[in-house]
This record gives sequence, structure tokens and C-alpha cells, in this order.
Amino acid sequence: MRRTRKWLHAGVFAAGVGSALATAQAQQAPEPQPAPAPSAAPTEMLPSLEFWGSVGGSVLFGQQANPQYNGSITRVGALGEIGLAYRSSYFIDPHLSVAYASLARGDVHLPAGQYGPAGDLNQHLAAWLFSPGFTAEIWRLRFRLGLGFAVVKQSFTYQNDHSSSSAFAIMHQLGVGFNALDSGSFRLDAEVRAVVAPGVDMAFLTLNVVARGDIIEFGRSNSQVSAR
Amino acid sequence: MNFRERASLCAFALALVTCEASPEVKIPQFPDGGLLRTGKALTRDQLFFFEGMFDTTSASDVFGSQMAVRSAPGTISLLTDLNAAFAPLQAACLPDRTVVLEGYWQYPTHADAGLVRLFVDPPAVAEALCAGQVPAATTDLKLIGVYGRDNDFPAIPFALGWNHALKPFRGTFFTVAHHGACEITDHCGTSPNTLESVRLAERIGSNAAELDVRVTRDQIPIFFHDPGLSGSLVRGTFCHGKVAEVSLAELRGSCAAQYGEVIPTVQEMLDMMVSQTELEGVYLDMKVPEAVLPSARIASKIVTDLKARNTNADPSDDRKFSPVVGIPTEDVLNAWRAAKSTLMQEGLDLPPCLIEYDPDLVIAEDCLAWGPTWTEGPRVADVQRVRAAGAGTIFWTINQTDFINQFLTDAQPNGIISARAALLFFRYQAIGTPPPKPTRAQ
Repeated sequence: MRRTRKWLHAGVFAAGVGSALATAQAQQAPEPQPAPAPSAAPTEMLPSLEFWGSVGGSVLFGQQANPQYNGSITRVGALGEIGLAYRSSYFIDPHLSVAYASLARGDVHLPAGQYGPAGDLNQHLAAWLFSPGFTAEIWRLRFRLGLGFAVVKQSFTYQNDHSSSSAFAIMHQLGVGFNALDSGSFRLDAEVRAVVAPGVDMAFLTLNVVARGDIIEFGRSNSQVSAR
Repeated sequence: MNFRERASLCAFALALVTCEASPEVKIPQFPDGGLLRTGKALTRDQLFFFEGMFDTTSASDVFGSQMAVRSAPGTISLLTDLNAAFAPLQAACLPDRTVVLEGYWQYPTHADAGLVRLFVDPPAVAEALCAGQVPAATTDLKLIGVYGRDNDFPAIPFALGWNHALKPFRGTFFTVAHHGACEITDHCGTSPNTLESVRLAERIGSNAAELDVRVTRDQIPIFFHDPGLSGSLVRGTFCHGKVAEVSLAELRGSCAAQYGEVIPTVQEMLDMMVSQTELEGVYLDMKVPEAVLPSARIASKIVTDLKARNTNADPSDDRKFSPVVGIPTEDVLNAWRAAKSTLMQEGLDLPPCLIEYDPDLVIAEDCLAWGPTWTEGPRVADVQRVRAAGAGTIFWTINQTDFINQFLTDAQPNGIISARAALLFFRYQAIGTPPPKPTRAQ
């Protein structure tokens, strides 16, 4: 598992460097020459403010702490997310997203100890993800890099006593989506994403359906919808 | 900022959050248990026979020109100052009436390690050991054999010859393990503040340990250094947040230390140290004031139990062990004063105390020792003033040879906290002076 997380780290890191280079190159590139007047509005690239929502499943990596307690653990969870992106005239779009993920559930049977009599400990792990970042659309693919923070929340129930605690950590995520539907101002993607929060030793993959729509377009009337 | 600078900055920022400590380590082991499997282990009394300073007559490039040899339960430890190397070995009499010492050697700060196999020479000494005797000390004692690298079968010549006896160290000079055997970045295969790490600390030269105490949400004192359950210190899918926010049951069911060990309670650790080791003390470094009273209660019970054992008619169960309450801050001192009052009202024995930051308070509070940081120098006058008042001095935390030499020779303290037990023990034996014992009765 640790090796898997290292590959995830490496992948996110490599993509981050690549994205940074692409960003810098895009910003260094000379201003595009004014294009000839378009013959049809849908081929023109106009900035817009895009809202998206996504839902999907997640798979959490990690190690069980004390296998000797014969615990059970479910690492498959669910994630929901909303976000805003500024679809610029270039192919790099800044975005801001907020997500909630219910990541894992577990049960372990504890023997009697200093904490009291034997009993079952129920565990739940969830996380809030707050992530600014960039997306880049190339052909029908939409790459995404986010660097933000996670609030990891764990909840326990033991001997009818419920408690929870949380931890804060820097988080980065990398995703690639495939655009399955584009009807001008509405788009539908399937996206795979890796999320890593090294400070809390947390890494998971998600498979999402992403619905995106332009809510504000800049520089044109509403009737002149653009598509890339 | 140009393109390259911008790209480098982004790469650096991402690299920072991508770093991950790797706890992967391999401790070499003989296949099938080695020759020890066929032999009969030497008794504890026989292991004392091997203690002394030895000349390294071969393999001095790896182990230095001299090694200190000391014993612990079930272990003969070879210790040196070259890369703080240690070799915890086990000894057994083989069917052919030879005595073998087997185990591994390691540089804790490097990945270097390997197997060791030594035989006792001359044969008459081995014969006496196999006969169940403790031979008389002899200057002819040699340990002759081989060492290897990694898991390769040992084949490189390695030999030691007895030179002179060890200086007194038990009950005299404290090689205090810094939250266990090694630092978190070392390759010892044990996590800080765990039972396994403290056991290993004794096997590589320590005779006391400094451990970090916190309390769980249900006020049970445990050993853990950081306020948070950092991913670099623990493992577990459901192991996040602050130590003070989880109960012991939640911690036990959800968290393990870096190498998978149980995060121990103070009760479990002290019970293990008293019953399974010959360690002479533990310095309970109170990280939070809330830890003081529950830890002091446990320490008090240990003090009471040992007092009974050491004053009864049976000398065979005597055990010298001091659970010392370490006081690093004014807040903890205030908690200690309140705890003392509570314990006295309950008619319990007071455990000894150690104050880190003020030698005058050590005297005023009638503590057993002063625990200054090394960063302010040897502070010879303060050491002598504390000593004149009957207390001792334990410096923390010194891992470098030059500083260990300076503090041993200038201050002649009663002990030093170090994550390099082999190095410290060896340097004390090489250049140290046995300090006077603290006279404060606690």
C-alpha cells in the first residue's frame, strides 16, 4: 500500500510539474494574433464562468492499524463536489472546488483493557476538500490539478459513546476527465482522480460523473453561446 | 519571475508536500535461526563475564579500534563510537562444547548492517561456560569469528581481544535512551516511545530511558511525542487528529506506531520495564500538565511496590528502578505541585522528580535531578551546585561525539540523554569519570 501511495505521490508530482511548465509556457507565449472575424459564433472561444457538480465512488488506500483485532474495513466510499471554474480564452482555467467524501468504515473488536470492558469499536472516516487549481482541456480530455487543504474527520462509537475528531492537512489532487457530452453550454464528463494528503497519510482514487454548465459568459450576449 | 524560476518554484512546492518518511528497514537474520538454534543459551550470570573493553584485532575499519562489551538480559552488546555502531548478540553453548555469539551489527544512521558470528576463545573458557560455570576473568579472552553485510552469510574476519574491565556504570552513569533506541529517521526497525524500542535501547547500551507522556481524552497517560497523530509517526486508516481528542480504546483500535507497534500506556511500559528489563530508570517527560497526576499515580505505585520488594527478607526479588517525573515547563511544575499534594493526601509515596530549566528549583523542590539542555553548554558551576545539594544532572539530548566528549570531561554529569546509546556508552567508558551518586533520598 505504501508503495502504491508513493506512485500516487510521484504521479501527482510529475503532473504538477508538467502543469506548471505548461502554465508558464502558456503565459510566456506571445499574444495570439487577432483572428479573422468568425463566420459562426460556436467556434469562437469566449471566457465564461462555469459551475460544476460531481458525484462518484472512491477507493481509499492505507493500512489497518492492528490486524490482530480481526477487524473489518470498507475502503469503498462516495464523493460529492461542487466547483467554479473561469474558462479563460487560453486552455488553462483556474478553478475552486469544495468536496465531501465518505471514505471508509471499519469495525474492530477490542479485548478488555485499561479503557474498559471488551467491545466493538465502530470507525468512520470522511474528509472535506477545499482546492483551488487549474484545469486544461485538450481534445475531449480535461486535465485537472488542485493544491489545497483537507479537513479529515474521523468518528468512533464504542460502548455507546460517540466521538469525533478532525485533522487539517495540505492536499493535492490530479484528475483526468473524458468529455462524453457537449451541448454548448452544458458538458458531461467521466473523471478519474487521485487525491493525496501526505500530512495525514491519506490517499484515495475517485471515479466521478461531472456535470458542467456555463452560468455567466463574458464579452457576449447570452444568445451567442460559445464552445471550444 | 521568468519561466524557469516559476517552474522551479511550483516543483519545489509540490515536492515539499510529497515528501514521505520511509520506515522500510531490514534487520539481518541468520536463516533457520543460525547456530543458536542448536545450542543452550548462557545464563544471565554468565553473560556478565564478557563485559569489558576489547581491542578490535580485525575489522577495525568497520567497528573501530576498540569496542565496549556489556550485557543485558539475554544479550551481549558490542558497542563503539565509529558510526555509533552496535551489535546485539545472543550467546549459546553448542553441542561440540564451543560457545557462539550470534546476531547482527548496524550503523543506526546508515542503512549499513550485517550478520555477526563469533566464537569464544580459549577453549577452556568455552568449556567452563558449557559446564554451567562463570569463569574467572581472564586477559586471554578473545572473540573470534566473522561478520557480513546485509543478509549475506558472514565471511569477513572479525576478532576482539579483552583489554580491561569496564568503569562502573550501573547505578552510576545513566546512558538515557532518547524516547527509545533510535531517532525516527534511523533504521533500527522500532518506533520511538514503544515497548520494542525500549527493549532494543537496553540491548544497545542504555540503562535508562526518556519517554514522552501525553494523555488521551479519557485521561489515560500514554507514550507519544507529538500533540497530533501525524502520518509520519503512526499508521492506521482511522488514525488522525490530536492525541487529546481520542480515547484509549479509539487509539488502540485505530492506531499503531510507525513500524506497527502498539502505542503503549504508561502503565504497560513501566510494568514491562520493571519486569522484563534491567533498566534502572525512566524519565517521564510530561508533554502536557494533564499527564502529571495520572502518571505520578502509576509511578507512585511502582515506587511503593519496589520499596516493599527491596526491604523484604528475600534479596532475590530486589529491583532498583526509578520512575522520575520530568518537568520541562512552569505549567507542568504547577501540575506537579498539585499532584504532590494529592498523592500526599492519599497517603501515597512520591515518585522522584527532575526539573529541566532551573537548577535552583531542583534544589527548592527537592528533586532528584536537574535536566538541562546541552545548548547552553556544560554549565559546570551549576552542575556542581546541584551536586552539592545532593541532586544529579542529566543533560539532553547529545548525539555528536565532540559534544559528548566535552560534556563528559567538563561537567562529569550523572547521565546524558542520547539517541546514540552505543556511542555514548563507549565514550563514557573511554574518557568518562564515574560521577558521585545523588544523595537525595526519594
